[in-house]
Amino acid sequence: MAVEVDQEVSRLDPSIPLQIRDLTVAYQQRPVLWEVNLDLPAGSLVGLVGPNGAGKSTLLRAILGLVEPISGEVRVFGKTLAEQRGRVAYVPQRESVDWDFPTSVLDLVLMGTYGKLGWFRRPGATERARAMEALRAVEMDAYADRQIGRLSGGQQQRAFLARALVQQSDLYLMDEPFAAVDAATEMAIMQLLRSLRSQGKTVVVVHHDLHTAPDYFDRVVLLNMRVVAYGKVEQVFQKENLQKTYGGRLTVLDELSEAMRRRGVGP
Amino acid sequence: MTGWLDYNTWWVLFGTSLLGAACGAVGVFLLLRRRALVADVISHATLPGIAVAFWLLWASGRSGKSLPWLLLGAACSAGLGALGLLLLRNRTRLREDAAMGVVLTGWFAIGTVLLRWVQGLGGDAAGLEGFLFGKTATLVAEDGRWIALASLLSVGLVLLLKRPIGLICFDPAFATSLGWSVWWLDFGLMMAAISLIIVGLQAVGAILMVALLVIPPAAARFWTTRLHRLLLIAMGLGGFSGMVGAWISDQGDKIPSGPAIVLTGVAFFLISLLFGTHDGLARRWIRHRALEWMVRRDHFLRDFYEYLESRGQAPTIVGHARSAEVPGAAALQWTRGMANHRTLFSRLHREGLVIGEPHGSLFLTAKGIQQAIIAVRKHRFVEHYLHLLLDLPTEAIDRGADATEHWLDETMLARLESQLGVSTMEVPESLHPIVPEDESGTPSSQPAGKLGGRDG
Repeated sequence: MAVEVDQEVSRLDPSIPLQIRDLTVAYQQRPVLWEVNLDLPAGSLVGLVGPNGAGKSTLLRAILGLVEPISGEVRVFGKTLAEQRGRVAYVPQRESVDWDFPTSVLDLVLMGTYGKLGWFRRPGATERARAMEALRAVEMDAYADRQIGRLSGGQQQRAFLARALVQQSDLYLMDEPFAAVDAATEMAIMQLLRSLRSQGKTVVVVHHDLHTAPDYFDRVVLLNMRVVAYGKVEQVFQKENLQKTYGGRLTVLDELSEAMRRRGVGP
Repeated sequence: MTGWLDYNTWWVLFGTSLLGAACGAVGVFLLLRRRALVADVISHATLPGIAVAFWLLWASGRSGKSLPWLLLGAACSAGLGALGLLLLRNRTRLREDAAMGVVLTGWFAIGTVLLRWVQGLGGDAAGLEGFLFGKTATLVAEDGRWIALASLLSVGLVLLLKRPIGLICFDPAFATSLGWSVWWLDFGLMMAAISLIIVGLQAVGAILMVALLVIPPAAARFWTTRLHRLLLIAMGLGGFSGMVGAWISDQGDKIPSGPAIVLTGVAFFLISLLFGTHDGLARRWIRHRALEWMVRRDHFLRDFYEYLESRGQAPTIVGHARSAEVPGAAALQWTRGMANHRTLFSRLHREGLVIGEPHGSLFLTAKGIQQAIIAVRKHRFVEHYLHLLLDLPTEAIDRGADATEHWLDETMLARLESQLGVSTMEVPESLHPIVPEDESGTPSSQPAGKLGGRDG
């Protein structure tokens, strides 16, 4: 059929940083994301916006293969993620790691070089220089030797971003980089994201603040267990779409999940 | 147990110190990965396997002392225990701690029952008690060599995989995003731990084996915040505990080697807890005392400054080697009823901040003026900040500033300066009236906000 052929062609398009087709994700058989279809163009800043529990982080995790989807496919520059690991950088939620871990800021940033070094090669002078450069980009070079636990929340987030910069990727996936950071850090991060975009990179950001979203992003995905709307921010950010995302609870889907939980399916 | 340089003893001591060092390194990662208690479950789960292996050997008419077979049995039953733990955790609603409690106690109970039973069979079964608490006296050079080999392999594995295993401890999601298999790295770490537990059974015993994996890394955390140093210190402490403990046990038959090794480790732990240079209690205490002094000193200097200021004699750095005189009686007021105001004055003297007598006349030195201005500036900056930006009433801010001003560092101070639009070293005006005190030192009137406000 014509439509399928068409999809086949776009599926292999190596110029598109991220393509998602029919992605459905479930945690222990409870679906949390339904039928996601997205094409993200190169050189764009994309906001993933939606209420708590909408599946924003889950979508990032599914793209990265951290959760196994029940169906659907993800293509990075026309190929599977496994073939393109080196072109994808992930910034997890800051709260997801133990900041008491015995390491310095510089060593944390050096983790961004591990992907290219592999399990056994140790970071050398080149890697160190690149890590310092990334730290300068986030204005954290003065803290290179500090234990990561002694940083403020905003500084920790900057260090995380520096680690992603060192990966020198083409597609950046960031889970709530603005969560609980000070205003100065938020501005600095935004500047950084814009400079990444101007270098032709694609940045996907999970974001909570509806007020800043239209300023920050070119494109927005409104998400609530499914894609409510996706497109240029000025087209998507409309009352009707936002109401659909935030207002009406998805009662049937909620009840379905709830019923499955009661029957003992899932956690 | 004969002489000090006996061939067997030498190998056993060598083996146990290598075992301790290897446990230190592997234990660092187990702790960072929060798997220390899993290791405890595994070591307790070895017992049924040892008993069953002994019974099989006895039934087939061989000597029950055949160590490789006993250890193989231990490994099998440890594997079953780990599998049971995994199943309970992943397939039921039980949380990890409950699952561990069930498997650990269950396997250990089965193990003790089976051990008691096979001991009734006679033969060489008496030696099996050693697997509970460790008995280096039963070890020979051959065992020492096996322990040394397994230790070297385990420590080699985790040191070779130091970075990837470290990464899965810190940020497993990021490791997965690099395409690394968290499962295999975890598997490697657990294999290293299990090998150490199996070879350590005879020396330390199933019950206390986990101590060798936990105590040296826990002690090392009081000394450093860097992974490579943590590894080195944990290996050193573990190795030393293994050697000293085994030697102590070797000297007198009464002490089982497990407790001897663990107690040596505990001694190192206590020393680290008290004197650790990173986070030891002594260091904490010293730091706390230093902060306490800083707060007292700043309050005193600020009172001094404001006393002079209220008389139009506010000291400035330029042109004043030392400040105007203050009657000692007034200064005594500023010690805030501290019982030991003598130590306050003598320390202010020692640090060259004031000269003169608390009961006569008191002067601020140039250094004292400098410090006083810094203290006043910090206090008033915070006051202005709270007033202007948080819009708090002036009565409420003195106390708030008191509680926070001491923690302002240079960069924060610079930011406040630029936000408030004041130049460097300028002292802003107080937001509340500084009440002149009369010469006897008693305040002529005291605004409500200032009373008892300086306990921070």
